[in-house]
Amino acid sequence: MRSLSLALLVIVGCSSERPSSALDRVKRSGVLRWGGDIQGGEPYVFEDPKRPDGLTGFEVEIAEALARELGVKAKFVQNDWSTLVPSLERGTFDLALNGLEVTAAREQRIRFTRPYYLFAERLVARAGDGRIRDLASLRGLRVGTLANSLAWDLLGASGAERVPYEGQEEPFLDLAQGRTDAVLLDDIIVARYGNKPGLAVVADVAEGRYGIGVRRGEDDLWAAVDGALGRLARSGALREIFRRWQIDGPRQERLAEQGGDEAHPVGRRRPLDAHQLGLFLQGAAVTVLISASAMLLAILGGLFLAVARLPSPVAWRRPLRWAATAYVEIFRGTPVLLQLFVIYYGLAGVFPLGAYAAAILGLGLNYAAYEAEIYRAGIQAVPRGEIEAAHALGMTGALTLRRVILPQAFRFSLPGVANDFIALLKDSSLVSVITVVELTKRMTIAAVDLGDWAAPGALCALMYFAMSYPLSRLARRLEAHLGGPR
Amino acid sequence: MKRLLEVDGLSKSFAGRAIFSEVSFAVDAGEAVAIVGPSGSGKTTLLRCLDGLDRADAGTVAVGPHRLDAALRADRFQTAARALRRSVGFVFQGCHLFSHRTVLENVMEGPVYVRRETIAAARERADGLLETVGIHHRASALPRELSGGEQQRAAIARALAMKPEVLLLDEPTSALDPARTDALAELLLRLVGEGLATVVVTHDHPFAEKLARRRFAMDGGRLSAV
Repeated sequence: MRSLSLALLVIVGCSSERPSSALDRVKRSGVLRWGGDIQGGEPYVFEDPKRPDGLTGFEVEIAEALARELGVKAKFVQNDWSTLVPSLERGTFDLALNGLEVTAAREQRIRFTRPYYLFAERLVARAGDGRIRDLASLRGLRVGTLANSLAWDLLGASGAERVPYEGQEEPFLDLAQGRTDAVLLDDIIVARYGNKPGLAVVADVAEGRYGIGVRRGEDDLWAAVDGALGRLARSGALREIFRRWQIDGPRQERLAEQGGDEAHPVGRRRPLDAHQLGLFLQGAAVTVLISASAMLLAILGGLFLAVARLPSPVAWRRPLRWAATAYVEIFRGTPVLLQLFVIYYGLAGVFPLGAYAAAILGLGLNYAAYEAEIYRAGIQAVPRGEIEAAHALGMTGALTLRRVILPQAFRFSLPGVANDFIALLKDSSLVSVITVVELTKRMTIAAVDLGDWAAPGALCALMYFAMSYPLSRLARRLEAHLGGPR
Repeated sequence: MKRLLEVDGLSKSFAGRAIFSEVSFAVDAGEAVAIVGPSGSGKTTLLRCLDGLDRADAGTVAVGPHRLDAALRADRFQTAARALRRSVGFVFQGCHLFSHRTVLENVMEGPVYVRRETIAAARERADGLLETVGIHHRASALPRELSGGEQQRAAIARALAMKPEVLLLDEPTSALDPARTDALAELLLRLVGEGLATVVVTHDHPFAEKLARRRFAMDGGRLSAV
């Protein structure tokens, strides 16, 4: 009891020592922590090819200029771009500064400084694709963009099928491959990454502004940063940075004249309603579809691998056996995430698979290696005497395998296979990296949209549990059933 | 009588020690032969060599037109052994019934999948054989639900379903009480009377005496007539 109250005292003591203002906190610590995503790439913030572990980009220069104005040093904090706002809210960094578009939904949660850059949402399609003209023409087509961006909201409103990406180059790679019909992204990104053979800019369909995000309630920090940004704009230092990065133009001229007071409401905050619930169910259906298909592939592939790995006196089987062993070791020994990337992006030139096919194939090939090991244990558990009895009846090796070994091995393997299916159900969330919107991805998108992680997170967890619990009950029943005397 | 099984100069050693050497004997149709000897005397290994389940170092086993020569190359030996087994039934000491199949399925397995009989024909014969060995009432039971004696009889029915000319039995009485042992001897005598050539390996001398007029003792790796 005493130690508990002591602990409480320490906590209270700590919190009372917290600086009363955000600006004080920054000044006292001497660093201005700003959040961004290196994966966002050029020219925003990316790894400097000339300086190992150094960063470069126009936003690095803006951050450093702002820090100088405040008399502190700038410190970069890496964070997934699509979760910059929630990370800012929970205090991972002081500023969100990474091509963050000013939208009404974001303005309800964080406070934006005056905009520092005016950009266009640029529509790109394959050259000669006459279907794509403007936002309205995208209804029902597959359009790639960054999840939770302004473009994401615009596409949602236009009725397009949105394909979410984490990086900026992949949308254009997939467009060139024919996996999507168009890409809608900020003009800066299109200029850097959209120059692929066979792609053409269709039109600029909207304008947006990048602002610096500050936590609500930190008004003195907001005022200091906004003021510093105003000084940089007036002195011409800001446009000097843009000129250096070759992203200056008439739009920035206009921004300087407007001063950036005009409101630009796009998107609105939504509650977790029936529509969202429908989307969650859709995500769960994708999860089930991908998991079940991948498991089927894994079961069949694992069976082939396990049989190939059986010892055999036949000489030509030996290389097959060796190859099957190598397969199992390689697929078990490398991350499934890496395998998904390789199958979807790495092999795109040779096998241009769709995202669903790549997801099923990637998970299926990976789990086949695990299934093969489960079956191998199952095969070894078949009594040696029964195999001899089959031989004594005159059965060939193949017939013995089919009639005596595999039926029993499969029964011995069932609990392990059911357990693996449960694991696969949850590993299937990894396929969101190759643009498949399954349950977990649906949850993160909804959470950022709604500004709430608790309700979507709980709903998502509940749905996974509803899928995996019956399976785990089944696995336990199988174990009990097969564990009895044989 | 027709000569069915002919064993000639069969030898086998393990880790430099001879298990048996230069074993030769023959069994006619309708004849039962018993091989007796203490455990570890190598009589089970000899019986397994007769069916090609183990491979002798030298010598031949012949059943009708099928010859199993220990000097054959590994893959040819397996092929020859499979051909030989078409005429030879083997009943293991541990029975080794297929544990995932019922008694009836165990008996039908060979006829349907090896002899390629129709299911109906195999079923009819299996029913008859289960009657013969006296466990027809357990036809739909799984092996783990059977007593030792029932398992033994199911294993015999499974071997007989292949219509063998020669039946090899390894210690068939080890799981049986005296009454069951007598019943088994009577069953086997009936089959022998119908023309089956039978070799029984056992350490149960009274059983051997009841079953077989010709008996061999396995001693120091050699067979001697009793």
